[in-house]
Amino acid sequence: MSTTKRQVAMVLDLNKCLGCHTCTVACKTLWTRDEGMEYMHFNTVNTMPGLGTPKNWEAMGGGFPAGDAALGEMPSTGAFGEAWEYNHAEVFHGGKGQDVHLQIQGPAPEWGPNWDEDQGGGDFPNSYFFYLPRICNHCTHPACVEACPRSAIVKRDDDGIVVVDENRCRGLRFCMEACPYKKIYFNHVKQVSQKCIFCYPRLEQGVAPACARQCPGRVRFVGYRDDENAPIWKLVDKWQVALPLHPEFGTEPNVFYVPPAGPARFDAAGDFDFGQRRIPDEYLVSLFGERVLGALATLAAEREKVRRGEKSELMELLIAFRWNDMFGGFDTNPQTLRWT
Amino acid sequence: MHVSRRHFLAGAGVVAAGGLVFHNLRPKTPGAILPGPPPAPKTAARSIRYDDYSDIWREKWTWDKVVKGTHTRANCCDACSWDVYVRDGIAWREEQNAIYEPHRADVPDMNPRGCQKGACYTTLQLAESRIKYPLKRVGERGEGKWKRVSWDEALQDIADQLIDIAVEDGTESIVFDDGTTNGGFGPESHGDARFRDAMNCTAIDSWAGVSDMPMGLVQTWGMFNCEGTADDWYLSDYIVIWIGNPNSTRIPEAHFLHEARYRGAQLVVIAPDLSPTTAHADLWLNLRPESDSALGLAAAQVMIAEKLYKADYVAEQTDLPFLIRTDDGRFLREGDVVRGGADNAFYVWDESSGKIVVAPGCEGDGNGGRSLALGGMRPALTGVRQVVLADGATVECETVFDRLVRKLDAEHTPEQAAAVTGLHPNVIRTFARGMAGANRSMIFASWGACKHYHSDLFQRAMVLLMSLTGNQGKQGGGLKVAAWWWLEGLEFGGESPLGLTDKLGLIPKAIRGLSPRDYEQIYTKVSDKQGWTPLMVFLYVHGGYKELWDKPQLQDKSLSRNVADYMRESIDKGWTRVSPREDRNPRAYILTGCNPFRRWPSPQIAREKLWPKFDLVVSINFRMTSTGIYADYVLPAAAYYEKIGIKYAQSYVPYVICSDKATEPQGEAKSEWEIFGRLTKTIGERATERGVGVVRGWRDEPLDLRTVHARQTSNGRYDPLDPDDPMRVMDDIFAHSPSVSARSGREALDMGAVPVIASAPPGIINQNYSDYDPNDTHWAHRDFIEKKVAWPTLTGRMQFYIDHPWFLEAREELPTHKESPYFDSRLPLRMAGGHTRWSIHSIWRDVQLLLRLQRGQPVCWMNPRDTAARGIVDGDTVRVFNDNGAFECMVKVAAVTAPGEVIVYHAWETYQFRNWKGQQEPVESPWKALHLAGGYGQIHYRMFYGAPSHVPHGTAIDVEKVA
Repeated sequence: MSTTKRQVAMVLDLNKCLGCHTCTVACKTLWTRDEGMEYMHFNTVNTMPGLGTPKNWEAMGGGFPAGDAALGEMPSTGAFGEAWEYNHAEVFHGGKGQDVHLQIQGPAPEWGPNWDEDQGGGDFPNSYFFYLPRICNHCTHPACVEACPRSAIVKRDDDGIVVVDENRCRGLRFCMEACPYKKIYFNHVKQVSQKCIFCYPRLEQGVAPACARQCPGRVRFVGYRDDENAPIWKLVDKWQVALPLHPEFGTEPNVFYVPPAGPARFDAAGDFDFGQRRIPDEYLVSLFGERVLGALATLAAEREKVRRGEKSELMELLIAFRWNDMFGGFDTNPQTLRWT
Repeated sequence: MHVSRRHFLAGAGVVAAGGLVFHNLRPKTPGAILPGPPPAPKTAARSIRYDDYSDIWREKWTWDKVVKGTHTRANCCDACSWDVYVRDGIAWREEQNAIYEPHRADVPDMNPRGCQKGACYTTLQLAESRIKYPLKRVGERGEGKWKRVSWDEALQDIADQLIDIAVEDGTESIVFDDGTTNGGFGPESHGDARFRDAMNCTAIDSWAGVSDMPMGLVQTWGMFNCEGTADDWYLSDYIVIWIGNPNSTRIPEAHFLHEARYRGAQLVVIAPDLSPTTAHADLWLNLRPESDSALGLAAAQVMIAEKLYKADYVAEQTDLPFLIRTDDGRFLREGDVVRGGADNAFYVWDESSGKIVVAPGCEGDGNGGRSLALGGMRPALTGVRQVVLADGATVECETVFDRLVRKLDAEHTPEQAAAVTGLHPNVIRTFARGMAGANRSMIFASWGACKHYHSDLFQRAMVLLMSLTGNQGKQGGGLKVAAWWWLEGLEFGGESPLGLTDKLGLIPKAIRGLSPRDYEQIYTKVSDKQGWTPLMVFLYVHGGYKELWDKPQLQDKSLSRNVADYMRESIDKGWTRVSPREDRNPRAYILTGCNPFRRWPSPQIAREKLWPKFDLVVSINFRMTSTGIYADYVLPAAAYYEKIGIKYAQSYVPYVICSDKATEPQGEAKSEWEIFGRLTKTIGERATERGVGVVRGWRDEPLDLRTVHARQTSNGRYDPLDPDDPMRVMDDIFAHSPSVSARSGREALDMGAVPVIASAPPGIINQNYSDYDPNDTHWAHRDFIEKKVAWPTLTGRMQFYIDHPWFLEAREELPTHKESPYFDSRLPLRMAGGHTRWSIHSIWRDVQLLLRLQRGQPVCWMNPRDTAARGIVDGDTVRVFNDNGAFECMVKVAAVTAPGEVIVYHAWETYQFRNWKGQQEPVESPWKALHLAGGYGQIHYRMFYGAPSHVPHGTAIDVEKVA
């Protein structure tokens, strides 16, 4: 268990996530454009239920399942999804007319980072889905740090951000096996592991991470974990409606989720059945642990309160009247920065 | 859902005519111009350097300058301001310019706005699809064999061919199409529109052609552009998403829906499939596809039967108290009762005076049909009256309300609707009571709600619900489609199409203040002088589609006549417009950004029958498209960050979004302003050199080709070859636009997002008829409700009874439910769709970075029951087909897709499919003959209003596995 002076954290409200991937693209255009990084998405968004990214990652192991470290599977590049290349020039300028169409070059892909988009689970009309955006959890008990024989993964003391020291990394990839969330990528060109850096160069300038600041759904809260005046602490500790994903992995993530409510389900006759949730409780428990049921009950009760005309601190927090207040003080507009 | 065009430019011409000098007489804008927000002060970034591994990442996040940008011609129905970060002369990445101020302390702000597509335009403008040099075809059309030519060579050849055509057949044989991708409010688009007018081209009116025409609202309101600011959604208590998927298609605004839920609002989605929006809803009504009007009418039945409706609102704002003759089903007219009485004056039974009285606000009320104010009148909603006619006979009359109630009770109870919609009757009752019981209810039914055969009937039912509950025109309430802010300065510098006589005739009206109906008459008059032709009519007459659309199985089976009959009658009566004339051929096709082979129904017909009629096809675009490759010339336009401009100003955000030039254009690309300026200059020069002068223009009126460049440039006011010229246009626009807070082009471009501070006068795409209050949310139709202004319909009300002979013939005089022509098709599946989150029409559709976040190729969604029955598994390639056409794509097996549905989201390029057979090949798009109706108050054609809709959804198909 590492203790840092402070820890930054993120809360994602899954009831507001649009599945639009602006976060993914914001991250991609900022950090992973170089050679060797083409297939990387430090931020991913998956439709749940689904096999996710990398494919079937929840079953790959790693972390501290029973309190002890366990190496899991090493995800392949194909499981993350290869960076497909296309034949635009041949189609537009090749003189082959309609005999050639735009296609992925090389072998037909079997998976990608958003392969099961909008497919969901259950049986129609009681089918269901929601979106699960993921970054590195910047865990308090990071399995990757413990697994690295080179001590090449650093948990920064000032903010608890977990960063790969590429000067020390020798590409051994134990971290990829150890991380139960499978959020570490391997750069085959540089021969190093690379992962989400929680946009520390931005945080250092008072700017929120790109995935949070660029999120049009206003899903993501950012801030120090211990700031009792900011939304993170209130949502995680005070109201206890924001929960870590797969707490049983034992790494103590610092990314938390407000669980999805989902629409009313239908009974066998086709009338609304308000007695049970459309998204099965057991599925949500499998993702967020038993506490998810309490969180959903709290969310429902507070919403009922505002429907009666009463005030609710929780609902006002989640509405986030002022966008910049979501970022726990990391509210600088990057456009105002001048590099000297 | 489409947003399209936004042919505001044509709008500019129109309002130039309508507004002309006249709205000076009745300014709606404040006298004092408020200053814009000050630019954010710059601060030096902290210098942080560790001299270790961590500097690698710090060095990636630096830049040289930041320029405001947006996606001016993308035809996205949003408008978002971006900071474009420039490094080493390259527009490197973008991040939202999130500076929007909230309207009220208790309403969330609009930040940050933007989506994943806007966040990677920097990638798209450098992609392989980018056109950098003028290309001339050297192989067959569509073959992809090109020769790079100089601008001079290209323009000279194009000019000569256009002159030849103009001389031989008149300029209406030159077809100009800005389709759905035509652009913005600024110099990035004005050149196109000026060319179209300067050359008197036939202009394809694609508003209905892309099925964005809410004909039910045209019929009911006499207009359809209505939407406020998106934060108004937040104030709704019962939000119904009715055909639409804003979580994918209104990405910058969707948060207000979900924040409204935390305010206690109910979010209800009506859709056959469980969409990304439904995932976050409270209630989902999974009705059978195309049974929407049956649901709406059953909800109306519940509201009336349970007395949940607002009788006072209905009596004042709708035609429900109007009297109908029971003998012929027509409204009781003044001409029936009084010799020489008006044909457009209608009666209600006034309970105060106990007699029939002409309803105030109807066209012929004797007072200009301007006001709905009832004074002491109390129109009876119900009751049968015997009325003595002018000839002494007596006729029995009943109210529209009574007739409606009788129909609802007989045909549209929840139990009857259950059989049609597949919804449990309790579900319908829960919905009706929820909507009626909420303080403020709204229906989001935007462009997506226009894409079915009987969409107009869906919409009439929706408006009925909003009227019965008194929500139309109320904050947080009402049916919401879309609308635009207008800029007064857009009228500056253009020529008014109206002649002196027209203008003189308007003076008396203008002195009283132009009413919505007056504006509508002006728009129609202007439209009639120009070369507008609705797309479906153009394709029917000139495009080779007649044979398809005349097929018996594609007709509305409740009609006794074929669509061919209605077309003949409509053309003969002048209700619809055909340009070029039926006996001439279109010979040149100039497309600026649009992509018809991707969009038109059954594009194989156009390829085979229409294309050979064209001597010349010119595509002007920043990227290669499925249609561009079938052009003779492809001319490279500057990308959005390579020119200055103004995004068309969607009302969702009370700012006008501008785009500065971040870098020079790639290769030899040029702004459209310059391209069209060079083209008209070349045409004028070549005409002079060749001794060509006057040819036949619009309506065969004389047009001098030697002066085409003078018309393009407002007689030399502009010089499109001067690099500073676009800024002159910007300056002219902002200097003359008191409704926004920038006064010059430079000021606007530095702000990026220019605050709206007042409502501009009404315009062809600005028909909210609500004053803007910077300290409150904005919503449409306040003038009608609060100021009792008459609606621009025949009756002056929201009109639910239409006694046009075609509507009586079709039994659509009242809102009703009808099945589409495919209802009894032997084919078991129906093609559904909608806009995807991944593209704006076909723009961004082929971006590698985004394709990697999908399956990387075209896909369809199918329910496991349908795939299992066909031996199909996820990832299989299937053939989607009917007798008309077929395409192949990959299948996604999805539990959220309704059985019977095959969902193919919008706008894959045809070149992404095997043999370029795209998703529109099987789409027959039977369309509704009634949309050709005219000659009746609000039921008429003019540009961007009232025309037959392309029907992309509901096509009967089957699917089989490709071995």
